[in-house]
Amino acid sequence: MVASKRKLPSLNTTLLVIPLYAWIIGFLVGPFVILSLFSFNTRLPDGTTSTALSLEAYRRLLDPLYLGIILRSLALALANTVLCLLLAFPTAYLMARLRGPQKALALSLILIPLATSFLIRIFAVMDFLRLKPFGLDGLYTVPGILFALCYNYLPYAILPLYASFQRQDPRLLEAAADLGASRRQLVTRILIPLHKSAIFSAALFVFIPSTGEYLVPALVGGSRQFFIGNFLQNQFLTARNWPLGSALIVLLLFLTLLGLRQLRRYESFSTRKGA
Amino acid sequence: MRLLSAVFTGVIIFLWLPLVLTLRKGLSLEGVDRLLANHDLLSSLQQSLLLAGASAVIATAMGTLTALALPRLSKAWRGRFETLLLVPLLLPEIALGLALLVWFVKIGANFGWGTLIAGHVGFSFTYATLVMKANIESLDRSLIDAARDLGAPNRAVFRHALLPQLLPGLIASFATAFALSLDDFLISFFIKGMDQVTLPIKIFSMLRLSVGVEIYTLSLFLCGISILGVLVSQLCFKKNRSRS
Repeated sequence: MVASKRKLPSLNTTLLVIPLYAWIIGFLVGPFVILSLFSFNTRLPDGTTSTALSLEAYRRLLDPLYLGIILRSLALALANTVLCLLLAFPTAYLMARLRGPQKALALSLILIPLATSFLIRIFAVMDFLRLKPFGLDGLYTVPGILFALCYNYLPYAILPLYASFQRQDPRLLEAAADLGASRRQLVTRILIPLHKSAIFSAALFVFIPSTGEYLVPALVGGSRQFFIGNFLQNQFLTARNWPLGSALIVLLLFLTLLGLRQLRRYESFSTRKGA
Repeated sequence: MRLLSAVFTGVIIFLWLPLVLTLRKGLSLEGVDRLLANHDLLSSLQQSLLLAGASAVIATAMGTLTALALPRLSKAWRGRFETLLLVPLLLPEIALGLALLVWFVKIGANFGWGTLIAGHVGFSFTYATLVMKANIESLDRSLIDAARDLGAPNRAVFRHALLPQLLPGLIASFATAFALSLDDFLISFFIKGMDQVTLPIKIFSMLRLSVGVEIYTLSLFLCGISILGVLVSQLCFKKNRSRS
C-alpha cells in the first residue's frame, strides 16, 4: 500500500497543500478571526464602533430580549430535530431493507426534493400552507415555520441513518427476536445503541443549521418574529450593531466546532468497535 | 412492518405533495411565453450559470489537489483538516455569509464577481474535496503499478492509468459544486456587488413581491433538471457498483 502510493505520479506535497491552506486562511481563519475581533468591540450610542476590547457584546446577548431570541431559536431547532429523527428513523430503516429497483426508487424519491432548489422548496411549502391544510392558518405562524423546517431538513436526517442501517447485518435482529426480544427491545437495546453515531450525526446536521436558518423565518414566518437567522441579518444590515451580531456568530461557530469534535469521537469509537 | 410502511408512505407524501401541487401550475404555455419574455429573469439565469461554471471549475481543481494531499499528511493533521472541511456543511449559512461580508469589507475587496466567485468556491470546496477523496480512495492502484512495471513514463501513467479513473470523480465533483452554486441564495446575497443579480436572488425578490406564472414554470424546469441529475447519478453509481 505504502509502496504503491509512492508510485503514484509524484507531485510535491508542499504544492498539493497550497489550495487547502489558501482555503483555510481565506475562508475560515481570516473571516472568523476578524469576526471574533469585532465581537470584543462595542457599539457606541452614536452608532460608531469602539475598538477597545470588552465583553460588552457577550454581556448584551444575556439581555432578556436577545436571550429570548436565542432560546426561541434553540427550542425551534430542537423541536425540528426531534420531529425529523422520529420520521427519519422508520423511513430510513425501511429503505435499507428494500431491494433492487424499489430501493433505488425510494432513494430517488428522497434525493430529488433535496436536489431541488431550497427556494423552490420553500415556495412550494408556502403555497401549500396557504391552502390551510390542517384547517389552520399555517403561513406566518410558528407551527408553519416548524412544518417548513421539517420539510426542508428531513432528507438530511434520513440519509445518514439510511447509510448506517444499510451496513447492518439483518441477521442480528432475527437472532435477537428468536431469543425472545420484544419489538421495543429490538429498537432500544439493539438499533439505537448500534447506530448511535449515525443518529448523532443526523441530529447534528438538522439541529445546527436549523438554529441559524434564515429563509424559513423570513419567508414562511414573514419576519414577524425574530429568530437567530433574521436577527443576525438585522444586526448586520439594518441596526448596524456588528459587535453584537459577531458575538452571536462566534457562539454558533463554537457550537459547530463542539458538535464536530463530538462527531469525530463517536466515529472513531464506532470504527474501533467495528474493527 | 405495517407501521414502517405507513410512516414511509407518509414521509414520501409529505415531501412530494407541496412540490407537485406547486409545480403543476407551471405546466402552461402562458408560463413558457412569459418566462421567455422576462429578460431580467433570463439574464439572472445566465449570470448564475456562468458563476456556477467558473466556481465549480476552480473548486474541483482545488478539491482534487487537496484530496491528493490529504493521504500524505500525518494522521493528526489529516484529522484536524478533515474536521475543518466539515465546518461549511454544519455552520448556518448566514454565519458564513456574514463572516465573508465582514472579511471582504475589512480587506477592502471590491464587491462584485470576484467576491462572489471566491465565496462560491469557498463553500463548494468542501463538497468537491469530499467527492474526490472518495474517488481517490477507490482508485485501482494495480493499474498504475502495472503501467509503471511495463515502463510507461510519468505522463503516460497519468494520461492512461490515472486520469480515466479520476474522471467519474471529477464529473461528480464539478456537478455537485455547480448545483450548489446555482442554488445559493444567502451567501451570494451578502457578498455580491450592485450589478450582480443571480437567479436565486431574482427568485427571492419575485417571491416577496409578485408571483407570476413564469416562476412556476421556471421552478418546474429547474426541478426537472434536478430529477435528471439524481437519476443520472443513481445510474452511474449502479454501474460502478456492478463493476466492482
